[in-house]
Amino acid sequence: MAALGKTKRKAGFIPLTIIFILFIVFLYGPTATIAILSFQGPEGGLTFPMNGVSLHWFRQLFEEQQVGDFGGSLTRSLLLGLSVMLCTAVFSLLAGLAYRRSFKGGDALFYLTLVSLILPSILISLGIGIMFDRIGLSPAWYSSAFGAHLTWTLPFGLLIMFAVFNRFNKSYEAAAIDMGATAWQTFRLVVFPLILPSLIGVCLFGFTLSYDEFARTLMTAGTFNTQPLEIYGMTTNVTTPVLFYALGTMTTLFSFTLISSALIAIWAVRKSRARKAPTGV
Amino acid sequence: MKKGSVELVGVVKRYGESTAVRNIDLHIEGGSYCCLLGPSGCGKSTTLRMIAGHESVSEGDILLNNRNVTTLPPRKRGTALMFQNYALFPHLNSLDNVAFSLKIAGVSRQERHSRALEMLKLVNMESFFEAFPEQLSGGQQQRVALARALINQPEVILLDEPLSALDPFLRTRMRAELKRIQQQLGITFIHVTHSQEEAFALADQVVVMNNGYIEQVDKPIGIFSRPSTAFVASFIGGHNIIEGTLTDSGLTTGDERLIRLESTPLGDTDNKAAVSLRCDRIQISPQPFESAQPDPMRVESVEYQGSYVHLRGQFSDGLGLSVFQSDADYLAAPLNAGDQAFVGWRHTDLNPLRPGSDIAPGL
Repeated sequence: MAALGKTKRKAGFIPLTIIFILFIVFLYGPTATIAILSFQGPEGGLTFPMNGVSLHWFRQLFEEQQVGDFGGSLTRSLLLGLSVMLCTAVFSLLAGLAYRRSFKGGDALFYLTLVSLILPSILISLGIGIMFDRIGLSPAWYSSAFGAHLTWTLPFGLLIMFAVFNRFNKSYEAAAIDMGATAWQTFRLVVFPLILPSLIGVCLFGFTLSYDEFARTLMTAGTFNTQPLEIYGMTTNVTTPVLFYALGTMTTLFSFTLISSALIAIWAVRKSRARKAPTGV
Repeated sequence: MKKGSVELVGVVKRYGESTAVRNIDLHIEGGSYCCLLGPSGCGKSTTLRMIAGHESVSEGDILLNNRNVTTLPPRKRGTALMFQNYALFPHLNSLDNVAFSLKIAGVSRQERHSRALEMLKLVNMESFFEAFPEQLSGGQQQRVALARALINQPEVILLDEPLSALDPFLRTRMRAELKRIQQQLGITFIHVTHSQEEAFALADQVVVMNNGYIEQVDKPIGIFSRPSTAFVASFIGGHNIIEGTLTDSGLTTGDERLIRLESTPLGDTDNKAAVSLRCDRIQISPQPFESAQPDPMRVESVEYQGSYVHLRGQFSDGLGLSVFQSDADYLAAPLNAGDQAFVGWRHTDLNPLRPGSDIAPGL
């Protein structure tokens, strides 16, 4: 089969491969370029050739700038992202469980939830900002921005949980009940472990959506900026963009670490299972 | 009364407008192997799930060991259900799957694992105790599922089409395995199947169901030699159904053909009646013989089946018959499609059928 595949390729193979490679270059080229340029020497410089090699800009990143507070905004973004993630996971799970049976007003509630996906982010941000102003509360990243982010992440989380429970084989629950499990035991020992991977997916989704959210934070963050707002502010003030190159490299590295650790964890679980299973028969 | 007896009294199951099970009475002896046999949608699975407690009963009562369990939850009944696709928990290995109900019951980890291992030994799966369901073949999964059903020492095991997910070779092997375990433990097995071969091979008692009713309850031999209705005769296969009008001297069919009967079947109001005749009890020959019908039948098709040959033919008056001829008889005087052949039978082989039930669809 392999030999056959080598000798007889379909006509579209070469052009499609070229398109694919171009796509990959288009996708990862800028990130790679920025990563390389972020190691510029202290004099800076926006393009090749590089003026020396150093970690200068990474150090700069963690020192308080005259025009921006990168460390503080990062902390706020992470805290906000984590709380949004937690809330999204809990509420999506509970809502997903609730929607396994139809209930009165269920459809209306579902469409109402989806409305916030369709409305332009900036309008929601503006609305929440104005509402806080009217009530006489001052907007802050942990209150109004938190709510604004949830309008974005909850519908996504809910849709994922719908898909999960649609596929869920009810005979697992019936089997648990047949063996005497109570409703809570069935959930804790069977349903929850089985949907856990999807729930982790909801968590990651919730976190990333919140972490890089700009429009919904713009009118709701109040006095202190989240990271996307801070970066936006810095672009208009900071003298050299090499700092952003370093920033881009850091965030990309962060994402890749997250993804690779997840993949490694999955691989480790698979491997340990395969090792335990007997090979014979 | 032996432990593990099951009794259904006037059991009805309705889903809104439609009725899945219509007024069933059934007694299953403790320690016996009972098969519920029927086509899909006949109510056999629903009946099983009502016995298990996974389906509520609309009317009637279910008794286990003379104890009314109609409204009890599954676990309080002393039954264990084995699901069609086994429903082994994918996140637990074989040992923890089998030990699940003990975990629920609060048995210590060490004890439940040692008891689960005992059960895995019973089904010859102890070397797979750490394997996860996805790493097991269909037959292995089934053994683990059986061990999981057995661990709580239930009095009745309920099996929902347990062999349907297996390939034919494995099906025959697991069938023998099920019977062995049932006899070894002496507990009641109630097994739902649509395969009469499976039911005949396993059951002490076969319950043939159709359209929510029980058509016949008997030993496998009784079902095959004396099917009570046209449905049963057509569903289990290997039978001709001859319909006609009752007269004083027998059954008249076609234009003038008179079929002599040993016992008189019950006719309906128009004196219409039917008998069944096993295909392998019909003698067929190119030459006329003593008990043969006076006129020959035209052979329409000949199918070689190994140990026997399946011949289909029709008389000029329209009566069609299927004949299973032994391969030895066939080879002695081979018949071909288009030939004329004489057929005959002992009139004691004609089995009167109870009127009023339809023939199995598509058979």
